[in-house]
Amino acid sequence: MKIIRWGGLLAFIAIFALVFIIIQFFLDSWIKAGVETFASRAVGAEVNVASVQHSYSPFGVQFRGIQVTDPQQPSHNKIQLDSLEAKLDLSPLMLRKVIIDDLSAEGLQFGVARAKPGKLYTKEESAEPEVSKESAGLPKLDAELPSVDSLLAKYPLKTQQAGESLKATYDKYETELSEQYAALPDEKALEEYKVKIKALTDSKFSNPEEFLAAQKQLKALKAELKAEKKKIDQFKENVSSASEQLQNDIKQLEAAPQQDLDKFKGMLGGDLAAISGITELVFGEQAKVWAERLFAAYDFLVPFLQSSEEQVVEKQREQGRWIDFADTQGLPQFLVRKANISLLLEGESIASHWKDITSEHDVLGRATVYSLASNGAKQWQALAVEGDFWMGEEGIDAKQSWTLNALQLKQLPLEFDQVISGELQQALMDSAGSLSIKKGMLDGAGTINLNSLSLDAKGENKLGKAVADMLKTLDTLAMSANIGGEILSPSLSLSSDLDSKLGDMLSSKLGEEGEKRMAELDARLSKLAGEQLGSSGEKVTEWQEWQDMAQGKSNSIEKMMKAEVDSALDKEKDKLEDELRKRLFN
Amino acid sequence: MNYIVKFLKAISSETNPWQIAFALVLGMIFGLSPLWRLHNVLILFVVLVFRVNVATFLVSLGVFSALAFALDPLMLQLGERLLLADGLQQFWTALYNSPLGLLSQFNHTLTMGSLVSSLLAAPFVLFLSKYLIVKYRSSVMERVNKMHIVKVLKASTLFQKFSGLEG
Repeated sequence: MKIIRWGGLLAFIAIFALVFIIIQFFLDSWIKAGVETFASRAVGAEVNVASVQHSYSPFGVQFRGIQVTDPQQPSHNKIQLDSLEAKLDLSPLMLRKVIIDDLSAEGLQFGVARAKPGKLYTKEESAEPEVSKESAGLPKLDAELPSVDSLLAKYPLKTQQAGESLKATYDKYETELSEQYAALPDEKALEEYKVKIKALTDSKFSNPEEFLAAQKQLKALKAELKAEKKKIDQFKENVSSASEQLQNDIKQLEAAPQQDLDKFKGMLGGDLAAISGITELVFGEQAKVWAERLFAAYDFLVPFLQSSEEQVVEKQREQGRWIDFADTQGLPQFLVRKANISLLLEGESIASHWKDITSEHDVLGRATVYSLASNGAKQWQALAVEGDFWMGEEGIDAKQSWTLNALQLKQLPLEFDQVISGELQQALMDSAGSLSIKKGMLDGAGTINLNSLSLDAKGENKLGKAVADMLKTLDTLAMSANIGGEILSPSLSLSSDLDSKLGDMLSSKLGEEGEKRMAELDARLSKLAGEQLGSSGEKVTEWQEWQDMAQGKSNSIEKMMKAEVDSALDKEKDKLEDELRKRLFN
Repeated sequence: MNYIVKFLKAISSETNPWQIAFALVLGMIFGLSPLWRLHNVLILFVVLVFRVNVATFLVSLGVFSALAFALDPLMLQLGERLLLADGLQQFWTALYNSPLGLLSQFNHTLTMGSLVSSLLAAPFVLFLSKYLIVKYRSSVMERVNKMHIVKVLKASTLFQKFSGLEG
């Protein structure tokens, strides 16, 4: 019998040829569908890939027309790429590790409008209620002078709060101290102790038994006095603590009307005099746009890297699991060894270079580093960004620094409140700074200087006009920026000397009407504070008197406790010695 | 159905019992393991290229694939224990870093559990099936063929149709 079945061999070859042909034919579509599904799930919004093409030598894949919908604004792409080409290391794929030796991306853009809005796949967590500017700390430029009643009704008064605090302290201690004071020994009781002790110490003892009995009585009296003294000391301590707290509350209440008055001074000026963040109000929105670009790298990479880890875990649970052993090559599950990404920003192409993109830096032992540089562009003189990040078990650690010289700004509408409208007509912006991320929290600072500044602003009312006039006089502005918050929801605050200048100017523009209302407010607040203060001052004095009296009683008891009957015995002894001496020597 | 008929014919024919027993064992290993594994490619190669009874292999594959649903939890547990056994860590790590290890996907708990289970069962299945085939042919087959129901079935068009397909 023949051992080999030649027909079977042909069938075997045919089966594998068929598998290869099917893979060759459908692989691109499978990759496209896989990437779209995976990325959509990671981003929470529609991700489109126009076409995919794979190659075997070197093993790689090329994507064209990638669009990632912005979950916050589905009509726009958060990220858009003309092409993305990845060359993969084949052998780690057997270990389910995606190692990309070389990745190049062309035409990376942010915030480009989509042909049609992208679908959203997850409920937006960022359904954060639209934070009102007022609650977010941004001042509101309401130019109408509010009435005193509306101000008192609308805003919580410190005077009121301090008064309530004072009353709570008073109520807490009043009963307790009164009861303790009543329980202290009165003058009559102390006098009785004195008489008893005097009787014992002045007694003449005819024999030792009498002396011992007196000593015992004195000891019992001292024990009673000690207990009384303990009560007095405890009372003194309580009075002292209560007085201190009450005095503190009184001080706060006395200061509160002025503090309320200062706050209302700003409010009466339509919030203008209380402004501490006009820089942020005017330039905040633009700065936010610039900052978003600053965080684009993290914003884009982190969700992808994090969700790729979660994905593996989910799959493993269903059908057995993959157990990883020590990898002599020390490779993470996902790694891009080198990436060149060409970014389109403000119509300018900027090259960025990346090394070791992964989410498992602990395994790799190196941080992801990146740099971006562009010189002599039409819109800026020089731009340089450098940074690195490390995603470990303790979260993300990262550093980034940037310098930007002479960025041309033209005709930018600036965010104002309803009473002022304006535009930054032109300016040259210089910026430099650095930020770091520790355990997912941002901490950074930078400077933003606007030179050759030309601002146009128009006020809708008297106070608005004053602000607008001041803004128009500016030809340079030096701002400092502070960056904080969590990595995926960074917060940016801006400040400059413009804030204080504007505050001073507006404070002086309250006008006659404002002054009248201030006076009325002052009177109302003083009356309120007076009512709240009530007899608290007298109570403190009374408590202090109690404390003094308790001190007197304490001193008296201490003195009585020093009395001793043995002085009487000594007297008898001395007498006997004298008597003996007389008889012997006379 | 075609392959079941062919399998029944094979065990009733003069086909070498070892040929049938080997086909059963190979079908068992293939059926219990996850499909896309290196050892399954080798088994497929052996089945197609060497004179293993294909009908028996396919019937065995079907039966053990169905059995795998019930046996999966046990095989998973076995795979997990073997892969996490302290004494074997050095060996697994070396295999993990070798090309053969990469291709075999041994570090998957179900793959490891099913392969080891089926390899352990293989000698028993091989000898038991050979013994049963010989026993069947010598004592049971004649009585079965004499049964009225079998005669009716053999005379049916369906049986003739499937039998006629045998190449």
